[in-house]
Amino acid sequence: MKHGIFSFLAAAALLIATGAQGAAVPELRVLTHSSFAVPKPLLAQFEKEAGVKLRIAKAGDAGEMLNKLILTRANPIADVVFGIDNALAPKALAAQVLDSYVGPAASTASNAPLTAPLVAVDYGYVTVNFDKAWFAKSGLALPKSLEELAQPAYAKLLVMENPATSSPGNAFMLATLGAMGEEKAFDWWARMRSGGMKVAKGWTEAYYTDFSRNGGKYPLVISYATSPAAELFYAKDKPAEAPTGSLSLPGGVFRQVEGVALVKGGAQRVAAEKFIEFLRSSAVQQQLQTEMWMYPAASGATRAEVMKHAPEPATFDAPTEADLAAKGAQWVARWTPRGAEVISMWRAWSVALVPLAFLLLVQLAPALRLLQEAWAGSEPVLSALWAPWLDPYLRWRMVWSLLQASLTCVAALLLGLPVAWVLARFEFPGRSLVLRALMLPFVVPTLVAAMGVLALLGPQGLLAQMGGPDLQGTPWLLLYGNLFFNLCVLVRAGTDALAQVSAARMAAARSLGATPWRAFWRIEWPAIAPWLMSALCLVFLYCFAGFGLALVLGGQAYATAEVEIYTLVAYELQLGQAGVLSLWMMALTLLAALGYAAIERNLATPARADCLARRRPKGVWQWLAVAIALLVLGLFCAAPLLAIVWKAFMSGAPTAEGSAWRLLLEDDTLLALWNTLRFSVSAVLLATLLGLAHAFAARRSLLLRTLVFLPFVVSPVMVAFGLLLLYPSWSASAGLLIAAYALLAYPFVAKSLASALDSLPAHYLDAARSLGASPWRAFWRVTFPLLRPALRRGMAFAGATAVGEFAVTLFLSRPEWATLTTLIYQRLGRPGAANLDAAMLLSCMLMLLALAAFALIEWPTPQEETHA
Amino acid sequence: MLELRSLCKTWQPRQGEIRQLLQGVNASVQPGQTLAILGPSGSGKSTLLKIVAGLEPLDSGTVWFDGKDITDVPPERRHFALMFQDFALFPHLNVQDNVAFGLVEQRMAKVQARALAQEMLGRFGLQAFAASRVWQLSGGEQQRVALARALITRPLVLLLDEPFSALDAALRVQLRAEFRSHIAQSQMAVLWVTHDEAEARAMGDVGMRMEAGVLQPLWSA
Repeated sequence: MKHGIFSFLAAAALLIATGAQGAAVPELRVLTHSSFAVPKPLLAQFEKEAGVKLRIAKAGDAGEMLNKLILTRANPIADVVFGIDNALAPKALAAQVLDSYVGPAASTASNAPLTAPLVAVDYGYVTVNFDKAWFAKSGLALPKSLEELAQPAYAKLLVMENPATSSPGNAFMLATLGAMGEEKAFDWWARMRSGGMKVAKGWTEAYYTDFSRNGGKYPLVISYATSPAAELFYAKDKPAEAPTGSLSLPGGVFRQVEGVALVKGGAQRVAAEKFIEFLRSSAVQQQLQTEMWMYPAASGATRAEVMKHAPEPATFDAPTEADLAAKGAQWVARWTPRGAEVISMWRAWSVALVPLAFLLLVQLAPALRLLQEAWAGSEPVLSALWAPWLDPYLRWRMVWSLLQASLTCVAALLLGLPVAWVLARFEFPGRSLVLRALMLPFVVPTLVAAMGVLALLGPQGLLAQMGGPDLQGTPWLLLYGNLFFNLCVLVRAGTDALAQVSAARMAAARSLGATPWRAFWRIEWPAIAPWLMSALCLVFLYCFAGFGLALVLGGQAYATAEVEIYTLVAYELQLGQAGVLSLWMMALTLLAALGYAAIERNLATPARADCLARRRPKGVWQWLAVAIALLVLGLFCAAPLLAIVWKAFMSGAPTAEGSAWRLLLEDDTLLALWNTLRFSVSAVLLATLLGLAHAFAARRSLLLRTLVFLPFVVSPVMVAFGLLLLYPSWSASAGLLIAAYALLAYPFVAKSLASALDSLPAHYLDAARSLGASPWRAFWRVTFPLLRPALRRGMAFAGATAVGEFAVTLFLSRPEWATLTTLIYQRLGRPGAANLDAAMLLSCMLMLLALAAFALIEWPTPQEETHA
Repeated sequence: MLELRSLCKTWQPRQGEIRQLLQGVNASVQPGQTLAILGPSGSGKSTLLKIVAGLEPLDSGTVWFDGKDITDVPPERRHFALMFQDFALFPHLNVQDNVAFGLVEQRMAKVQARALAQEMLGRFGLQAFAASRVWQLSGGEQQRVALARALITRPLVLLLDEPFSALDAALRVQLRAEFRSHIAQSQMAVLWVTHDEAEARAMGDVGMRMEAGVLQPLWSA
């Protein structure tokens, strides 16, 4: 020991001295596996004597290390390599990465031979180890042969390392192959596996996790003959006898001989040769026994005292070197159960399979069927594709669809951004109520909104009654209806984005001389622009692919392409033309959806801690700004809803035929209500399952993330049309109807959950794991509760969507399945004020139903209330 | 005793770029001893703690505890406790249930776990906050809850990642003494990672500096 300290000091002194001189000392690069362990003082002494500095690189498992050496042979990463054993030697020799060495160590006798140019350094035996206490307690006799080990009595008792990833595992497999021959050995392994042998990835896992001695379930483990001695050596209470033992089963022992060699093309040849001699020196040969738990290869080396507990097995087996060189890799491949990889891949993707299969059947296949319908026309394909653009009538439909969506985007941005700014920066009474109310248009069924716009601006609408113009037949109805829905989208996105602008950055900008106006453009605007862009993409999508609003409000002149498709199918049966038009709509929406998905992916930033504090408005101008913002919201978002309520209330006045309110108790109405409820509930349940699966799968891929928008991209009209063509025999079945509802509703669940998953801090899971929760428990106790609000929100939207669904129902429903929406549309199609009144009343009822669905699921818990 | 042997870890910040984060980290900590690890941010200190906790895989090297190689043991079976920079208190649970979390994972009945958590909160002077939500607490109180949550299962090793970085200077000094007494009672091996040299000197029986992926000794007991 004194000697050790002395040499350490000497080495330290040397290090200091050489440090002072600069880095003139040449480096010797040693490549080795991760189990290499030689005491530091010895290494320091070697550095001093050889006049080099050692750079020891540990490259994982021995197999990994050799691969690294082979891959870098053109420009070697080491000068000398330690750790290639007799199992790996054929591969190393074939790859010609080693140089021969003829020093004393190579020519003196060795306890265990190794093929030149490798020089044997140490050796050990891979055998079956057993837990003495377990066998004593169970009374089971130790197995005496491999054959016995495969008997049912020893089922589920052995843990073995995978030969593909572990050198002891590989060594043990080779022993059985050498002893039994290839076919018999693999037959034996098959029996072992079916008997419940556990396969661990590496020795550490097998020995320290699965072996019963260390708390696992398996009293037999593939390890080294020296392992019992090591157990004794490290035991705290110094027992007289090792707690484990090793078995020398015939055919179940492999002698592993590790060697050192010069690397072909390496530098520092003299020092490298000295290193080989150093590993064979008596000091190292003595130390490695209790450092690496191997027997010394040098024939004169003295055995460590503790090694008397690790007697060497008398016999051992191995395949011939020629066999090993020719078939080594093949054997590993044959041994490794390929099924395992397939299963793990399957597991990773299985969660995605459910929504994918659903999308395929209910979305993609119908879309392809539409494509086929478009193709089926007698004209050549290309000219058929261009036809809508050549026909002035259809061209106007497409251009108007694009135009009204773009106009809505511009108007929503111009009106919405100032409103968002006021909501984000000022604190005033009722602010949080306004924010919450902004969610309402999302749940209002399109048909209800359309009715609201009519109640306000249509014939006999409020505006007309007050002496204003009747706007029916102008584009303003549709644009106003679009804004009713989409202004809120933009205001919400803008408010959320502005709330996350860093206060420190704004303060920095101001102190650097920026006026509030300049600071807005240079700091706030760049920070919120991506959020606004993503909101605008959504606005564009909603408007472009919208159906209900355009059907009711567009009239003849300003109907969109979507309405045209419906007309072509439902009234004119022009399936080919409708198919081509659908294709164009799909392509254009897909572009917008891709843009949205790409922007959205980069938005998931955690909320900033230093957000700007809201302040009470001061002075006339600021209060005026608040008032104007509220007025804008009121005019565009609240007025249509209030108009419906007003109209419905007015229609309640008694007339010649009695009050219109009696309608609410008619059989038709009650049946429609019942249908709406049962379809919606089934659809929401299905949508929730699909949405959960999709959100978890979408964490892995952008593709899946984009696919969530597929149901948005292919409009309800097209889905319904395609389903009708594809599954004619089920065209009026409840299953198909509910599947179509679920298809339209589930993206809300999936999207809501996906963003919640993105913003879930990863270290919550880490914290749960380090507090003792298994992955499944961590999901159940941490992830799921944190996702619950998002799940509820998604379900609320899904519910509101289902309740207000209109387009699909028009196509797929049977007369006795009329829902509230179809009933409203029927009334609207009949002439007379009474029918309009009835439609208003039913709309009012539908609105209340949607609100109820929304409130039921969306109502905040006290916890969220405080946290918001 | 906790031992880290030749821990190596590379990190790929983006495609095609590989950084050597840990290049052979060696250290050992006795029970009842605190090892303070100093180093600038980005030097791999947090990664080191995650590796010891079992939350990050290693490229090579082994982690040993009481003579056993635990490199491949999953985090929930190590019985180590990790405290995060921002505490990672669960927002959906109240203070008491946060503290009881680990006990419930040990299959203790909820009633009993809550009672023990209440007792633990008492030792930290937090009994009044049992039913509070975690975001209603001040930084110092959150910090104490995080420590209570970590200590309640009597972990073998306590790992602290910049535990005071979210707190103001006065509170840090005050909490140092408090933490030291709690740690001394528990007889755990402690790894204390910080970039604050004064804090490291106050808390660490042994000090080491993380430099270029290895640990250099600074002072010892």
